[in-house]
Amino acid sequence: MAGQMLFVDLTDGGIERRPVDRELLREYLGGRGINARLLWDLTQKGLDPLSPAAPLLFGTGTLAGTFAPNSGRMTVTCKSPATGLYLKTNVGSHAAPELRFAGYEYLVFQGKAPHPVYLWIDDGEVTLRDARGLWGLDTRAADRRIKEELGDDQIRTILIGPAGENLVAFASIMASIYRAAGRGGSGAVMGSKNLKGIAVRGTGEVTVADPEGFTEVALAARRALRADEYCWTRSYEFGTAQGIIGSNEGGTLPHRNFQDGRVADAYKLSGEYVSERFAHPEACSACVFHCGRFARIKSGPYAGTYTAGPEYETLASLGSKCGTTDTAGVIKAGELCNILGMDTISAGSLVSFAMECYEYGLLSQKDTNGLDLSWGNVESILVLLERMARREGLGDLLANGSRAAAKTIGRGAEAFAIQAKGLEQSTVDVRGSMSYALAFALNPRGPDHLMTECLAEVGYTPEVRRLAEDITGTPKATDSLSPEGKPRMVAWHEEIYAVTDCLGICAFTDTWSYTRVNFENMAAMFAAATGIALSGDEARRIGERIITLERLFNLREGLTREELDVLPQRMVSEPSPTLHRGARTLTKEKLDGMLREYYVLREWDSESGVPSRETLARLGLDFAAEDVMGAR
Amino acid sequence: MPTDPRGMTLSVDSDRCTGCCTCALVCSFVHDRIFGYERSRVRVWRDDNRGLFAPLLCEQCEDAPCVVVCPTGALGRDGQGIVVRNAVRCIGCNECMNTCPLGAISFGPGGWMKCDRCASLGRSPYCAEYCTAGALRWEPARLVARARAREVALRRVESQQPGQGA
Repeated sequence: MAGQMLFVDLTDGGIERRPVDRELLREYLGGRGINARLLWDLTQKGLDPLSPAAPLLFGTGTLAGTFAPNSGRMTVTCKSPATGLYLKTNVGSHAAPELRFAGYEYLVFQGKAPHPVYLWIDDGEVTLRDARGLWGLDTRAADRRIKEELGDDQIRTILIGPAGENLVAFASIMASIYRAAGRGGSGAVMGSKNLKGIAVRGTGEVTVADPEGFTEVALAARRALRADEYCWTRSYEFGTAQGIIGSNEGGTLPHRNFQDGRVADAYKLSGEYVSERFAHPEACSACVFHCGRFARIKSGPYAGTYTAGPEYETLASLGSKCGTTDTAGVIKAGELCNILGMDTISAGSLVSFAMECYEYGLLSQKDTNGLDLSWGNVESILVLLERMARREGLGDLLANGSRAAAKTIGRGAEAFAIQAKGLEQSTVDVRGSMSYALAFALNPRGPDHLMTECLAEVGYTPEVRRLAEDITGTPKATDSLSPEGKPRMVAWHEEIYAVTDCLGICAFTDTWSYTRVNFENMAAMFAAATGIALSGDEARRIGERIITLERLFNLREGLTREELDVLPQRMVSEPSPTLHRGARTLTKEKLDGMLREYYVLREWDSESGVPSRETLARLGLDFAAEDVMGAR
Repeated sequence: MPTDPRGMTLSVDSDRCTGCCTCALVCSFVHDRIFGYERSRVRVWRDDNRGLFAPLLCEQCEDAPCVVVCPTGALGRDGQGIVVRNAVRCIGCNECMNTCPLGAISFGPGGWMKCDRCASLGRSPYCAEYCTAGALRWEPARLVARARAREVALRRVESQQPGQGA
């Protein structure tokens, strides 16, 4: 493991290489952890996320490029233009291994190029190339053009589409055209720097410190995952959307912007249906699960559409949440988001937000330039997606994100914006699950499941139920409406997610397997790969360090716990008619109770939710104390 | 599709490949203790745009062109039917690489490189063992034809069902 950090100053074109600091690796494990520390160091309070000074970080997972199970991932970190807060977003494909084979583990971009450029990494040779001819192109066309220009179709690209160029608040960064670092608008940060993309070709190698030890742990984990029915069979056969039917039966599949949680023909959005009719499995580097899909539409109005996906979130967000179960239409919408470079979760949220405004007369046909935004109108969804990416008409307003759009529309539109801290909620209805509710509220980037998914609460096997009880010390752990034990449940998941993100292992590896990939064998793989001793308990403590540092970033911005630890208004103020016959399952009081217990558990101040100096010292985060206490 | 004395063969089925490249990572590691897509005897060609993948490796051709073109007779077949190289005779002229119809021979930083079905490691191929999607399979050769025949037969039978056109 002898990768480097590449510092690129886009303003003057300066490119500098530095070795990865082993002390930093020991303290933060890599990927998400090292990125979090770099972001802290390179950012000052109040920095405009779209200003040239704002850093944009790419950190490959420490095990990326090896055969550790599901290990090919990379973390993108920056200050989010959607929330103005900490943003970490994670992406698969083969970009991270390719970067490591070229010899680079971290890319740090600062400044703003005088005109559009892309970074070409050809093993040891790194150059900034003119991208003026690529500006305006969608990710598919830009990928093709770059491969032609450089004469190698096995290059991997990391690109923004028109949405990123136009600073759309939910623009994503796309790896290999269709794989998204989706949440929080990192694509807009890239666009603000005039950076169209990164092209990389790596023909070198990655080595590990202890090959025999590494093989033993990594291959044993692979075999265990492969032998697991839930991990392997269901994810390979049906992908992430295997869960759609279950959510619908539970009344938590968002329908019409979370007005309720059930649709009549949910099977048309299910992984079973999609995989049977439209899609085949596709995988990121070193994956055992193969949950990715690649869809093709051969007939009907959307014939000729092809794209990776659709995933659960795309189907729910652009499908049921917008009032449609037209499978082909949703796949088409997913294709548009991918090539325009927009997060399907937020893009779907903006469409459903606009549709609800339209239903209640807050937006008229005049506002929409004649577009009929009735629920389920697929043609309108597709037009609106284009307009958002290109900032045309109503799309220009929606491109600022639902918090900003609702504020502009006014007249109560805020109630229809299912967002907190400026980020649109993913398609999990947290009214049906207290650990999800707590995790979403605490999530430093905003309400979604991709930082901390407490799937153990569902208790889908006896083994998982036992684990949930072990973590929380209560049999109520798998009672999704009980707040009991949920703070412990969330803390444990936050920490294991942090560790997987550092190593570049897919987050699903935890929640679909639990005991098979765990703190112990992840620590063992890290130790064998890097030669830095690490136990499972130490890994967990580093997870806590990272979680706390991420919170400190937001506290440094001067926000209080009342501003930080929140859920979308609808989640805490309106019951869902499809959940427990419309009973109030989640209230602000219930959430506050869990939050307080969580602060105590983390040794943060139980009132203010600010970590004490002692806690910072315990976690080796003393360096942040002055900045954070100074911001109070 | 030549088989080893036990009647086993390495089947390559691109239709099932999901492009995870685990085969390449396992291959480069078990042979050279390094990881690298380009440092492997099996390579996965990926078309990112269309979501198409194909694993490429030496299929130990029956009448192997590489053996025929080698000017020094450095290439030959061992007792298990594997095309192997005599490093002493090899002059590194690249003719085998230029001739191979599968692009399965390369000269990398570690020198001449080609799949030997893990014969040099004294075992069955690692790549097939860790290919979860079944694109690379180490299986009895007699079953390969039977499985293919079954697929075709089923397709034909199904197309005969009344009212069940494609």
